[in-house]
Amino acid sequence: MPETVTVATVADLPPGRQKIVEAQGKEIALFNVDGQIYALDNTCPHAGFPLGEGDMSGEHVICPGHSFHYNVKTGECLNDPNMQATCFEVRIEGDEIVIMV
Amino acid sequence: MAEPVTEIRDETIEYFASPPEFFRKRRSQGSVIPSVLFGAPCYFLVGPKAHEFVHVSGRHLFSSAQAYRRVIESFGHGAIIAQDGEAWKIQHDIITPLFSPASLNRMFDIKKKLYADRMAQWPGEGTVDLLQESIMLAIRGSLRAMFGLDIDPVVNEVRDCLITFGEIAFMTFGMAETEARVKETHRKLEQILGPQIDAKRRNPGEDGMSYYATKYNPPLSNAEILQHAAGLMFAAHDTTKSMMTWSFYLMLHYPEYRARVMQEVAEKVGPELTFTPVSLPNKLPMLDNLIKEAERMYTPLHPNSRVVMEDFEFEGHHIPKGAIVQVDAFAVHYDPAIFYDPERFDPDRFAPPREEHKHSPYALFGVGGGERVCMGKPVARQDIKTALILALQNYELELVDQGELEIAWGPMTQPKNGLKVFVRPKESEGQRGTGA
Repeated sequence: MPETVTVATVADLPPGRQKIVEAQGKEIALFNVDGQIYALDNTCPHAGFPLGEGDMSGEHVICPGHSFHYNVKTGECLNDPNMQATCFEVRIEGDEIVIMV
Repeated sequence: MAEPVTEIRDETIEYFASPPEFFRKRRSQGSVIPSVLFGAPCYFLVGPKAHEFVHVSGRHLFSSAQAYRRVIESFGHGAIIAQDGEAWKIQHDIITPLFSPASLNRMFDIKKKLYADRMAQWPGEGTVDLLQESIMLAIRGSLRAMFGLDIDPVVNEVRDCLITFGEIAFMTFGMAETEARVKETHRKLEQILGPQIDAKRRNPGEDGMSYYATKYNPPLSNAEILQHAAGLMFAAHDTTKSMMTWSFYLMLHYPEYRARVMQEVAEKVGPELTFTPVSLPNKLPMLDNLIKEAERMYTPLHPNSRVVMEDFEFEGHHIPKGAIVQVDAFAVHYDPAIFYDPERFDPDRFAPPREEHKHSPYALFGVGGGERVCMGKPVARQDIKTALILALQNYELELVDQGELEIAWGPMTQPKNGLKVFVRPKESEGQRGTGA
């Protein structure tokens, strides 16, 4: 069963920014796209680079390793349909960001 | 429907004289440009959509193996650039761990030391050719750090073998007269590296030669290992050498931007290069954008060829089975609709708020894309940053006036007559070197 984990406050993550957090022993990358928060497994499924260190481009994050573009809402990879980043459900509770891990 | 390509004269010379100019003159022709290269009809598919189509959504329509037959004939049947399907996937999965963050960290320490040692041999005050230096840094780094080889006794001989394969694959024509040369070079390479491969079989490490020696089932012979590894050894250093040279050139040719890079290095790195991996963006944006601009303006290996395996339509054009399709990064990198004033050196085009490379995932496209993206991209970026930072920390560098820089556009882009630079140590001999 997934557990809810508070990982940051909304104030920690302004629009257009990303942040790496840890929950249940996993590194997770948070992204703020136009005020909505999304969460992906921080490890790129291609070669293991940290997605949370990548540049954002609209609703995509560009992996710092090989510049693969992932949609932070769906985990879909624009560069290789075989690649899929793992998404986590995000809830905002008060001013806290809570994810289901 | 496109014009029949057989009616077009051979455009090889014009294309390789200056690919940016070639595409500039044909910009009005749209996204499919029929041409003839090396006597064979082909179609240039132009623009980010074309890159996406060839590398991602339409990739099943194309063969690399058939397009790069000369690579197979020189480097060997295992050259990954010239493999398709299952053979490609097996090799890709075997070598992927070489390009992980953990591997980058391992390689960084080795290369930093190798680079610092090499630079310590630069003259106290005098001229060095940074093209030749980039070759030596890249080949030594690749063979030692990526392939785990004891390079001192073999580096020059291995480099000679790789140059021979590269010349035959990309620069000469007619296999009849080169077949004997290829055979002899493979025999020589096996003689040089055979004992080291045998040692890797007995005592494997986390390096490319160990992976080739132990991860194939059934195991490869030494000759087969080198038929796989030679292509990767070549690719691993030759593209890095090209981008490293151009990054040095741009940094030294534009002193105002160099001052900004130097300030960034002074503030964020300090006098010693200690943090890893330096390839990650955001930490050194000035330097990162300089390297991106080198990739855009002087893309190392700009053409990508494929043979069409099934008829298809692209943007209203019919492309028949058996045709050769070319995508070329320069067609996009010098397109003013994507990169503003593309002839101009302007690394700030990659900085917020402009971020011109984000117009499309296929806008800045110097190292291929899709599942066949150059796996060494983060390694090359780390290597270039390491070399530039060490050089800036230890030397005053000044371009020697060589007149107008002549460019050899390909297939590997580089200054035709080298890159002469006057170097002067910042400190006394005894204090130099930050690679330890």
